[in-house]
Amino acid sequence: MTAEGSAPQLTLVAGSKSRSEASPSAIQIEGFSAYYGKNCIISDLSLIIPDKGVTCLLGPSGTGKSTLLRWLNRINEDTENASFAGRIKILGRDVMRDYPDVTELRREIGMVFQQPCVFPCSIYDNMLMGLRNFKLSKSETRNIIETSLKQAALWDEVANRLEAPATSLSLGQQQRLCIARALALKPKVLLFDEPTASIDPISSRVIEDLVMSLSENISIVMVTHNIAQTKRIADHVVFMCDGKIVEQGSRSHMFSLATCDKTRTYITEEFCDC
Amino acid sequence: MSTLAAMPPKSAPQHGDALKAYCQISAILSVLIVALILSTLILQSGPVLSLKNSGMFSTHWNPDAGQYGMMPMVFGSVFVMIIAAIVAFPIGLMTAIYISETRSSKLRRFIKSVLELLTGIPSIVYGLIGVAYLNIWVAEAFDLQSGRIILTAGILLGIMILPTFLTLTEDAISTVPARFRENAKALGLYRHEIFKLTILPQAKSGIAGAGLLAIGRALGETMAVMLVIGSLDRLPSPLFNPLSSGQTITSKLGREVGESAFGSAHFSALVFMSLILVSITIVLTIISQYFLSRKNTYV
Ligand SMILES: Nc1ncnc2c1ncn2[C@@H]1O[C@H](COP(=O)(O)OP(=O)(O)OP(=O)(O)O)[C@@H](O)[C@H]1O
Ligand SMILES: [Mg+2]
Repeated sequence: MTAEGSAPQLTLVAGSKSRSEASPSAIQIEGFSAYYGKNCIISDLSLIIPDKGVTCLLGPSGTGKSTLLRWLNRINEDTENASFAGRIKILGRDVMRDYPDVTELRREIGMVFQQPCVFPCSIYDNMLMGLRNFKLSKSETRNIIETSLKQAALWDEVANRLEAPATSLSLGQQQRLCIARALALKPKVLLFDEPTASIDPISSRVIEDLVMSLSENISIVMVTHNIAQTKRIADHVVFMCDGKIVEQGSRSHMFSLATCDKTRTYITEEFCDC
Repeated sequence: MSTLAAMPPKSAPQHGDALKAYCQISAILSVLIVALILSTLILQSGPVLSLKNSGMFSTHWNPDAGQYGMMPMVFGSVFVMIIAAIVAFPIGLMTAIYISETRSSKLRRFIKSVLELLTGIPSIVYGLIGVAYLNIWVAEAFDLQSGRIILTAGILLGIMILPTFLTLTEDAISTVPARFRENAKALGLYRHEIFKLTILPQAKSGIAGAGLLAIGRALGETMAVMLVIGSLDRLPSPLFNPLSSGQTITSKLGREVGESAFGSAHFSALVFMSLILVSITIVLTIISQYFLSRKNTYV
């Protein structure tokens, strides 16, 4: 564990800018274990994810990266047989104890999945989906939708066809719509589970740029299998294997000074023997 | 690879040809059978259609006097079908939602397999239960002398079509890919919103298809209805009074086909009623197939 997370931060000012050693943590995970039935996927994992910036979660398939991510916003709660132990705090609030209404947690922590998934309705209605439970006037809603689409670099492409079915967009555009949809809720943390895995390289680069620009204001946790991508966008890299953290650190540390052999082989050969 | 490609599969061509011919003949045969049935029905309806004063649209059914008023039966069929739908649809839909929303796949599999068993129970068994119990309960509940009324038939049919409707509805709901649920969840929607906003719009044509198929089944059911409907060839009065005895096309056919002489006007009138029934069922089936096939085309 690095020294960063030694003191739990209970009150975090949203605008704190410094990303240096004093940077507060967005997510604190302590003694976290995840199970499917009796199968222990992650055991006793502790991790601190810094506020703002992009944290990339690397690791071979089946290590439990998605499982970890899906517990951060408790999506896994509804998965059959899934359970966990330990504590997760997001911006100082315990995800289990401090969010009796899980939907509140999910509105604060956006999530974008591997496969773009737009609802079979118009682009506008897709954007509206998460905003339903906020009491907003029509013009406020429109404003939020416009800003979010602009943030997601999609506005120029859809401004004149907001009523068109969302399924008529290209996959890359659909993924950006998913991101915009999440951004409309003004999340403090965004979770990405291989957001570019099913998208062509050019659209992927658009999304990478987008992720980087968003990371100035939002803490981003991104699972990826793409080492080159990690090199391009990560501020912080966490390498997981077999339900454990092997090594973590800043991007420069991980790509040049990785101390662990496993990390080095994985980063150079994308292979891991564990 | 190359050796495999070079060797023609042994005797495949002959086999293939025979199989193809067999399939073709079967397909042609089944189409022929349907065509034959339909044309028989149409031909045999001739005598009653050519009668001048058959009074088909009246309410008097008296073959001895040459009166073939079919309205009570047609109305009875439709009325019973509507009651069955009112009984089955809300319960079926709610149960389907419950099953598809439950976290436990064990429970879901259990309920599904029980339902599939239920769809296999012969209708006469339902009829027996209807005569033995339902009929008496209904009579007591409404303080009637006899429970052999339209309502009883409707409820019984509702129970009969419930499993069919339920399994098909549950299929329609659970074939909506899980990722829609997860994405909606990630946006902080509540469970009921997720269902209403993302699942239902995608499942609704499947549910509509299930409903149509189920009422089609209700329409064609004979034995169970015959035992509990009271078999009275007249329109209820007031018209939509479910507490009066009645008659459906099927129960009428079930009772009288045996005693009518082949080729007579009486027989022909019965055949014509069955033609009406078949037409309604065909239309319902076509509509339901349209809905069922549309089920997943948007993704
Ligand atoms: N719903 C589930 N029920 C039971 N086991 C599961 C379930 N989901 C995942 N697992 C198991 O948990 C382990 C970790 O899965 P997870 O999806 O978290 O891996 P991952 O690191 O995201 O892999 P990938 O990189 O391939 O996405 C795997 O062994 C998987 O088989
Ligand atoms: Mg994964």
